[in-house]
Amino acid sequence: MTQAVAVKFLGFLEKLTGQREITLPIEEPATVLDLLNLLSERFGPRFSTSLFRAPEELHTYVRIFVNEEEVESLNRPLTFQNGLPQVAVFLMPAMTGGSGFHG
Amino acid sequence: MRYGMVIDLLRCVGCYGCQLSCKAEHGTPPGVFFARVQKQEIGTYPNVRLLFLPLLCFHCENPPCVDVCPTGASHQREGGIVDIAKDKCVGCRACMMACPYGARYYNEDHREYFPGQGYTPYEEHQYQEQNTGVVMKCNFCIHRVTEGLDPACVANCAARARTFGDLDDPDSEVARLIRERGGTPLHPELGTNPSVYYLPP
Amino acid sequence: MAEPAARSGPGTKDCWIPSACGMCYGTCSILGHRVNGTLVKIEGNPKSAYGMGRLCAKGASGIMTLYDPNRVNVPLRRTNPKKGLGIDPGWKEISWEEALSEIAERLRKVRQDDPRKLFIQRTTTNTSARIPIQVFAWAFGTPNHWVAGGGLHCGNGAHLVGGIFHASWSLVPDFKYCNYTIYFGASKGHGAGHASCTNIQLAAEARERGMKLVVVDPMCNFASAKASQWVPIRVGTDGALALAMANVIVNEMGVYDAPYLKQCTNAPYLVGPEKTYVRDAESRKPLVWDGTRRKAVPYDDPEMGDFALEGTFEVNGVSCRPAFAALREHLKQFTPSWAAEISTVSEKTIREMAQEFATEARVGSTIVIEGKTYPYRPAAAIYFRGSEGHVNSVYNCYAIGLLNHLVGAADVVGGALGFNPVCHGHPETGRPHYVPKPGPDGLMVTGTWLSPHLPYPFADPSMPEAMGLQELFPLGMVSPFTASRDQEEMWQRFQLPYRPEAMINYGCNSVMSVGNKDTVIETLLKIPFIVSFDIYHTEFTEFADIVLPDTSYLEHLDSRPNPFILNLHAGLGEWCWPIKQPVVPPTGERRSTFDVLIELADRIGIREETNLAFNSYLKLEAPYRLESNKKYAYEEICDRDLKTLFGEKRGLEWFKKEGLISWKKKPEEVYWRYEVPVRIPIYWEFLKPLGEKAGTIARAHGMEWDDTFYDPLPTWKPCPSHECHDSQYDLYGFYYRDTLHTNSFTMENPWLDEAARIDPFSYTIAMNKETGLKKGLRDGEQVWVESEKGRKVRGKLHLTEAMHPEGLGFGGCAGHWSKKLPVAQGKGVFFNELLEIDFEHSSPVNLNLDLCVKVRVYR
Repeated sequence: MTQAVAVKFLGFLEKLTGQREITLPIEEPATVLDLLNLLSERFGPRFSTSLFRAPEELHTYVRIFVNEEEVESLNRPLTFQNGLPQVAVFLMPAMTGGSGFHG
Repeated sequence: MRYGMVIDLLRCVGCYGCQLSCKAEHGTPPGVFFARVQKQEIGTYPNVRLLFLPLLCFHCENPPCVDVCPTGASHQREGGIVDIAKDKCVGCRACMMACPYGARYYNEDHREYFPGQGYTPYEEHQYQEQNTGVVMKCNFCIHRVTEGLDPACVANCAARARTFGDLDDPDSEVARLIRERGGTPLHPELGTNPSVYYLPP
Repeated sequence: MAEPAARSGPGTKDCWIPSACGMCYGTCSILGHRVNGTLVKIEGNPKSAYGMGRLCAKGASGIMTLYDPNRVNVPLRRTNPKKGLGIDPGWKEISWEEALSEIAERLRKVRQDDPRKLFIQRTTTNTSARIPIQVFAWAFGTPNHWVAGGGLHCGNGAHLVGGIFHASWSLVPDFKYCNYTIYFGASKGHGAGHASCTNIQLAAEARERGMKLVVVDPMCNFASAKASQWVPIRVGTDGALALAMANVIVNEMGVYDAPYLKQCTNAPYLVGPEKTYVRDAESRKPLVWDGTRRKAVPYDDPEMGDFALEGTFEVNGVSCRPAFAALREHLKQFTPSWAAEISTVSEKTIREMAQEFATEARVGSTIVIEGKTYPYRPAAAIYFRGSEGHVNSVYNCYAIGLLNHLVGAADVVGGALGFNPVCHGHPETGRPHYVPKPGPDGLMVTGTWLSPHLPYPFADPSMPEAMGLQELFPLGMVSPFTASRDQEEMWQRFQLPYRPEAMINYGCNSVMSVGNKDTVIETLLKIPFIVSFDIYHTEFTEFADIVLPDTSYLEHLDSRPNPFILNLHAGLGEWCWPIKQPVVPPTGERRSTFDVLIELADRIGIREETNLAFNSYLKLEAPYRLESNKKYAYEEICDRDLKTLFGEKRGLEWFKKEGLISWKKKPEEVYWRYEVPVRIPIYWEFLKPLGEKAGTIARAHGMEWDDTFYDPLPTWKPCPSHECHDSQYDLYGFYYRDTLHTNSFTMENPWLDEAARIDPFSYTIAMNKETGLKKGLRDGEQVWVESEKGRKVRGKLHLTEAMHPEGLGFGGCAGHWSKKLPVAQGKGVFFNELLEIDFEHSSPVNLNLDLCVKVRVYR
């Protein structure tokens, strides 16, 4: 059955996709990984390489939230019973060292 | 009862924590260090070491500074602490000449730490307690000791190189350290019998 | 004598307020004594594991930083559009509202255009700034965030290798049990650095207990002054010495900890002729040779018999051998006579050090702690800035770290310990909880880290998008290209699609802290809009467009000033979580930058991102998680952080009164190495493909690339200073951290300045006495120091016996010229002026800047 999911692009992804928020159709059952693969198809390799360091493996700086809760596993199913799932995809790159603090 | 201090030169790392915590405790003016650290080079390259030597008033049993004081401002208190009654001091500085260890300072004026920019709120607070035109020095933080606290330099020493206590009590930590680790005062030959002992590096 | 009697807590006229020091990143716990609103004393907090109630000189002197009349008190905007060294910006006071609306508007436009055009820099000194600033950068969407000199100077190698080998930021000897420690350019436990005051005490106890400390250093001060043995070394050659020692240990002595290497490292992984692992055809897992079953199996085969560490095997049609065998063979080239030539340390001393280290490690021995038996390896090799601050940064730390791993002295009793890489959490809440876990090829991934850029695994090199080009250098964190001479050349070469247009600075004086000022200033002049949060008008502030009055560490709040892997002492003892809180309210118009950043984020329209980023970074849990559409004060975020960690009853109010929470460390948390199923790499197989991929990109863009820095086994590479053969430049200039000062910031503190003026070294240039006399130079005279590139500084010479004949030592980062720092102005010497900032002087692996420079000295 086709469902809908709302996706927000936060941090640099907003610039990269040129959008802050989209709603797109997705076939149930679907996991977070299915959604990210769908997004990768739609936004192309530049988007995909920003998220994945290897197939099915995210860079350490990528954060995914479903209904504001951070997702630990890409296999987490998206549930549609309680309305449109709100997914946020967020890049948190950190090019900082030193003691990060300091020394 | 005789207050004394043991400074373990093996433990001391010359971090100046004593010098600056003393300054913070007493709010002494620029140029005045009741506690300080001297760095001495020993040996020649490559067989060389730096010795970190913390110094303060040695609270001598036979204090030449007290002997020469014309007004009785410099005096020995109970427990052997050598102190200066600031209201009796006339600033003649005879005691500074007499002290063989350079432990005394003349407070000519309440100078600012930020010259020409006025006193900081901290300096204003601390200078209320100090007279000018008088001699100042370490008093083993008698205000802390009477409250049951260690002197500031002892309480703050990160290396725990400093120990304070009763030299007359053979069971005290200071007496034990002197006995077991071979503590000696600086320049014992002067006959002043200091209350500050050093353990070898 | 007695501990302080009951003292009144916060809220009374005469009170002691528990908080955290901010005079260096060590962040020891303090008690601020406030009388009628005036801070009259700062003491250590005896209840805390951070400092254990004691402070260094800097910590005791914070009052004079708080009350410095030269502090920035109101927002300022420049009226003079022309920027340059010594050009008066013509500061005009403006209101906060004016400042915030102007900044928000500029930043909103920049973000709409390309968020990467915002460049953020912050000081390393204030640990509290890390999270709010990182959160702001993420929410904004810029990867351009650095700590200027921090990292480039001190951390890219030490912390990277600390992460790979120990899942921790830094390492120390297990002071409680270690019997033999070698420091390579480190001073842990001697007045500065991570866990500073606690380590002073632990090191003093180790010294009294009889731990032998050997310090390899060109200069005999601090750690070397207290060492059992000082080994003077030619600047920048520590790696050669460590490699020769490793050779003596495994090849001459035949000592190594086989069970450790088999279980806890990749020593048994089979390596083929291409220097890469031989992998299982199906699972792609690296293979090992099972000596019992005489066949190659994946490293994690459950039926594993005995891992082979030696031998040559034929697997999948290729000839291969265990990584350990390859390492052992590789080390043979590093003979003591070779290392003696490079380092000036005699062959005899090298052999003695290796023999003592390997013997003291007592391979095979055990010890019982709290009823449980642990491996006992009471020897440790410790590196830090002195050995890592070179182009050979990675291999230097790798080689020194290997000494520990060869004898199994890593995170076991008595050995080299990371700073708390395993934490099972508070007994009531189980938080914080983190444990290293196995990553790709079974190698260790840290359980916690200070940034999401983990030391392992690495992303594949790709075309760079950050100003620092870090995508091309996945082992680098801080990059010189953020402020280098060849910045524009590099950006063009790699087609960086944007240029920085706005900059936020938090308390960092990058004009002084990176390298020579001219190069840094040139990069700053290219940025049209610079906002600086400052407590002082520094040399950097002169280039800002708007200056905002920041609170000092004694005036702001933070719920986590001390991450455990950063500043909590290693080894047994207590876990301790203190907060930082204002000991006096901010005066004038000073505001906490952390609240200002939240306000700015809100005005820019990135509230949702900000709140989610806080949730993610702080791991806030329901019901304390921030709602994405609500605005929070930083104080409320801190409250939610503490309640998530320690429960509803222990929120901010509880911590403001109590100051901290402590609980006992368990031995299995401290000595975790055999308890956690992870392996560390003694053979860095991953380096080669990284180097090849990065090299392909680099060469395709016309850049020369040296693959030899990406070999899986460490070697010694000379510093640029070693390759200067003009005989008139005969000394190696280097700087060292003075215990009286932190970075460039404390010279303005008049108490510390006064002490430093009396100290023979703090503000002088230290030269070996005989060297000086041969040159006809006198102690105390003013001299010029000139680099081979013609950069010059002037300062007072101090002739000393405590210096290698070829060394020239400078204390810290001094030599301020700003008239708005009247105490600091003209004090000490600006060593960094002698440093080039470009790729030629940086590590091609982790981008660490080379911090030694060949110089000549004249009157």
